[in-house]
Formats: sequence, structure tokens, C-alpha cells
Amino acid sequence: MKPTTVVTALPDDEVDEFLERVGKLKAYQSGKLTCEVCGEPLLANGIGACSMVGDTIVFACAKLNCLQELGKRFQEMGHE
Amino acid sequence: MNDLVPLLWKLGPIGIAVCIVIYVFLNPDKAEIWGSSAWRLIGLVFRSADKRAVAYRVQGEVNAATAKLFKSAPAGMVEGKLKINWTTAADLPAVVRNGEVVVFMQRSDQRERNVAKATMLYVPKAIVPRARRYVDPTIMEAVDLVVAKSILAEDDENIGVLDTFFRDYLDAAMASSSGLRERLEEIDEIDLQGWLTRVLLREYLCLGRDLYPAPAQDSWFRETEAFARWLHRLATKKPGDFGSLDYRGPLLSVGVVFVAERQRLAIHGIGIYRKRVKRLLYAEKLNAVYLMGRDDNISTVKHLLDLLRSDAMIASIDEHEYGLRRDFNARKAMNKERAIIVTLRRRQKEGSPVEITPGDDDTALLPADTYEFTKEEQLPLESSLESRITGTHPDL
Repeated sequence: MKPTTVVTALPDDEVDEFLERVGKLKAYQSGKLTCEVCGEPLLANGIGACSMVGDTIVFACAKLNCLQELGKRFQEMGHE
Repeated sequence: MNDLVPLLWKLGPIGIAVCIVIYVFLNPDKAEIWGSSAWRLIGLVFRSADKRAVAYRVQGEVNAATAKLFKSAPAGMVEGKLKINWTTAADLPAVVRNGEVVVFMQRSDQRERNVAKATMLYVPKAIVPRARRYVDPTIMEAVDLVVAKSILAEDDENIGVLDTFFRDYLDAAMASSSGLRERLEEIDEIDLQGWLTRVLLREYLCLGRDLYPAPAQDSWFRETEAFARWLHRLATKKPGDFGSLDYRGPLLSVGVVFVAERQRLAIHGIGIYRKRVKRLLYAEKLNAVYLMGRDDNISTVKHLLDLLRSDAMIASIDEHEYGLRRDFNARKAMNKERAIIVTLRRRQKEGSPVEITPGDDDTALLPADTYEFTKEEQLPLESSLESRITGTHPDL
């Protein structure tokens, strides 16, 4: 079987449900949930990706540099 | 198109079906893009079908562009095709706890954004995955960005997403004072020559094979950076410049032979290039020698390769003929279309059937051709004959 590089994705119509489950929906809607990389409210640019750092779920906004930076930090932590 | 309709009519439904199956088999990435259009229509009614349309479109575009960019790349340079795995809001917390970065995808009408997001996460995972830990991080980041830009630029329909890519990342990086700006310029110049995947990443890949799974060391970062800078200087050489045609480090040792000067060919014949290659492999003991040429010189490079093919010191040969990047001529003020790179990898000592010292053959008679890039430096006449990058040839 040929190797593949998997990118896991969540459809945008399930974002609110996910945020509700992790208790972040109100913070997101009020503009208090911010991008881990650039610090801007996620409400402004939309959510691009998320991952886990320690015990915390962190988010990157939909700007491509923030998305890439989150992926890079994640790899530097040894998750490859 | 006018010829196609009667042909399809003659083939009949079974013939057409067979043609489609053959096409799908030969072009799975294109087939995914086609399939995504059908799923998108169904997705107007069923949400799950739209998700499938997104996955097929993103996979098809990224994989087709990657396959084109890394055509003939050795095993290990690209770690498999992109595969989009959907998760759900209920499963996502467990997925991220398991060590995944999860990207948030939009509906299929946001094709460009989805392709860009997937590309930004795919490239750092898939390109030289084992070697990248030993490469200077800023160099590697610049490589990822240039590769991502090339993937997005493959499809002319991606103009919008390229604008986003430049706005979100490249322009910001170019405006910053960090070293990323310089590295980006350097890696892009290397890519402009077609050397990013065919020389730089190829050498990094070999490095990764040799070092994996050792923990990275700062000295290795420095060497990978020095190698990239040397290659950049070679890529941006100007008529009259002097420069080193080989790189020697503790881990990497590489020589380049430009087959470019018609005048020299007319006077000395191809033998002078053959001798230089032999010297680099036998006397200088470089791990790899790259033969390069463009347009009219491609046939000469191939002729040179034929003369070297049976050499006992060469462990492997890789030959790549390729079209130059579309902005090459505008940026270099040239009129070139194609180029060739041949990689000759030296047999390691253990496997070598013969051990030849510099005095054993006539290559030892050739002058050395390793210089620093300083115009002021006075070079011996013989040496300058060997390595000067003259301004008389349209290639240089």
C-alpha cells in the first residue's frame, strides 16, 4: 500500500458544535477567543486550525501564515 | 474537438467507458478533480457529498501539482500523497489529544481557500520528512513556502489564492527583518534555476538518510545553511564572476560542471569536461557531481553522460530534463526554455571496485577550480581558463 500524508479536517458547519463541546463558543462569539499565533480575535479572520498544546486546545486563525506556524510549532514538539 | 465527437460516436458507450477507465487509471489526480465536480452537484442536496467534493478537489489539485513538481524525485523526498480525513465535532477533541493538527475546511465553493489551507499543512509534513530535522529551520521554512507557492501556482485558476498567499505570508515575510526574508529570496533564486528539488532537496535527502534517527546538532544546521548559500551564489552568478564550483563540508560534498561554453568545446572538445568530472570523483572524492546545461547544450550533456556511464566510480546516475520556470527569462533577461541536470553519485569506498589516487590518471594534470567569489582575487591563467564564468556565452 502506498504511503499517504494525512491531513485531518473538520467541516465548517460543525465548528460551532465543536466549540460548544470544548466550552469555547461564547468566547469565540464575543471575540475573546484569539489566534495562538497572531493574537487577533478568531472572529475576525475565522478559524483555520486547532491542535493540543499540553492540556489546552489552541487555535490558529485562517491566515495562511498562522496556519503554517501552528503546524510548524506542532512538528517542533515532535509530533510527526 | 470537432474530430472528437465522431470518434466517440464510433467507440460507442462501452468504448467510451473503457477510455474513461484507462484515463482514470493513468491520471488518478485529475480523475479526483473530475469526481469532485460531480460530488459538488450532489452536495447541493446532501452535505456529506459536498465534503467528498472538497476532499477530492483538494487532494486532486495538491497531488497533481506535487507530482509535477517532484517528477522523478527519489524515494523519500515526498512522503506520499495528500489524503484528507474528515473528523466530526464529537471526535475532534480526541483527535487533537492524539497529536493531530486539525484544519477547518469550508464548503466546496471555497475551493481556493481549502486548497491553500491543506497545502500549508501538507508540505511541512510530506517534503523530506526525515531530513528536515537536520536542516536549518529558517532554510526549511523558506523551502516549504517556495514549494507551497509552486503547488498553488500550478493551477491558473488559483490566481485568487495566490494573492491571498502573498498577502498572508510572503509579503509579510518579505517585509519583516527576520532572516526568513533573505532565505526566501535565496531559495526562490535556486528554484528559478530548477535546482530546488533536483539539487538542494536531493542533497538534504541524502543527508537525512545518513543521519536519521540521530538528534540534530547545531553544526548540521550551519552546514545545511552554508550549502544553500553556496548554491544560491551559483544560481545568481553574473558574467565575469568567479566562484566555487564545488562545496565541501563535513557532511556534504558536491561539485557542479556547467556544460555551457561553446568556445571551449570547439577548442578542447568534450574531453575537458569528462576529465573534470573524473577528477572531482576520483581525486577530489566528492560525493556527487552535477552536470548542467540548457537548450543547445542539453545534447552535449547527454553525450558527456554517455562517456561516463560505465565509470566504475559512479554508483548511480539520475537524469532530469525539464522546462524552466515561466518567470525565468524575464528575471534573467535570457531566452531559454529547457535545462538538464545529471546527478552522478560517487560510489562509497566500501563498495568501490577500484581505488584510484590522483596520480593514477590524467585528471590530476588539470588545475584546481575552487575559488572564492572575489573579483579582486588574481587567479592563475590556467585556473581562470577552467572556472571563469565568462560573459561571452549567452548561457552565462
